[in-house]
Amino acid sequence: MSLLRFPMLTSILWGLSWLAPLFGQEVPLPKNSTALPAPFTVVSEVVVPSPPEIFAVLDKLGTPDWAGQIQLQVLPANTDRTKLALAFGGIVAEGFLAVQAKKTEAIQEVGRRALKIARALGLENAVTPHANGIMEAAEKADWKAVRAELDLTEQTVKEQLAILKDQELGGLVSLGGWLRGTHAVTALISADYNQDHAEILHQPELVKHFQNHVAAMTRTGHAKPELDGLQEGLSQLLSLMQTASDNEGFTAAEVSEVHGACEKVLQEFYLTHEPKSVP
Amino acid sequence: MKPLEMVQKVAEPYVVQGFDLRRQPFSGVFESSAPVLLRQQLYRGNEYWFWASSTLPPGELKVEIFNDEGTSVAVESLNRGDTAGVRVLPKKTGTYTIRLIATEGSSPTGATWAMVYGYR
Repeated sequence: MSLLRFPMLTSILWGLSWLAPLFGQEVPLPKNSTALPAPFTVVSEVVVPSPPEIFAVLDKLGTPDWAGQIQLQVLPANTDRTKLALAFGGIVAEGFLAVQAKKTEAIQEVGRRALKIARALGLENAVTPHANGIMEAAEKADWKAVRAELDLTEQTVKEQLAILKDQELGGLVSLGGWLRGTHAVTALISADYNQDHAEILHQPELVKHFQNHVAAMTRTGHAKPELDGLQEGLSQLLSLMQTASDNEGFTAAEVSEVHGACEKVLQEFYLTHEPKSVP
Repeated sequence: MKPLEMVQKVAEPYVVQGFDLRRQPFSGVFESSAPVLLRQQLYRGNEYWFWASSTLPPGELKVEIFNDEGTSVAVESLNRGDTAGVRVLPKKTGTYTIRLIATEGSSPTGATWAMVYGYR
């Protein structure tokens, strides 16, 4: 299948109505453009990177122990759609980790679990072809195809949630995946700390984006304890990232703290074991 | 040809060169003469190309990219008729701003645009 056959057209448009006087000029954006006075208004929205994009850079970190990061304990039982959406993102991230480790059986288990969560979300029909595709590609050790199918699976779930007027949950799928991916990557960086590798964790605007998303859900009637827990975890992550930014990089201790913050949140919907210290 | 089709066609050869394309394209309408901005988390170590097409007359659309200090960080630009693009090799992981802007004298209001990006 051509990579150019996109499954969905996502429109994102931000107009800047008062910029006419500067129109057409090569004007640089001012520093700290997120809190910007006139004459520029920059949207606070941030496009969330797709998992394959993140793993493209992780590929360049060498060959860490990806297999050691795969966590396929029994998922916490729940029927809450908020937690299910977060867990779906988590299991997709698990699939990407399993691809990094080239572990066929783990990938196939991810496919089965993705289908199980999709069933609980009422999306079984949409996800079944992707789950089958993941398992078949894993059987053939076609890792690129597995990645593509995992990416498609996540996109399909977001699209279907939007069709069901549950688009807020689509954002949680992204958040769940980001948390699980960050959790795994911070464990690997901590195991062999290197400030250069830790630089990948500099994502404060992305965390702010997730905070805004969760806050918007709370405002629209999704006021649930798990959202409060998410916000608390995101606030901690943002604080750590801003400290690292001020200090020109993450220390080993800060990387461990990022890991711990992710783990605490993940225990609400994805991990069942007790927190562990990062090696 | 629609903007999305045009931009996909321009991006296609880059896939052969090893770029993976984000499966979600972005599109919209210039609602005024103001530029369109998209903020994107980029990772140091990846190489990116952002391409955009529009229904503006050929050559009237530009794509620019800035870091969080407002400095242009494009290492290469492309202007090919209906499509423009920039290549970036981020020196730092962080949020960057992609700006789609019509050239001076152009009237973009109502023009549709589409953008895709690739990374490797």
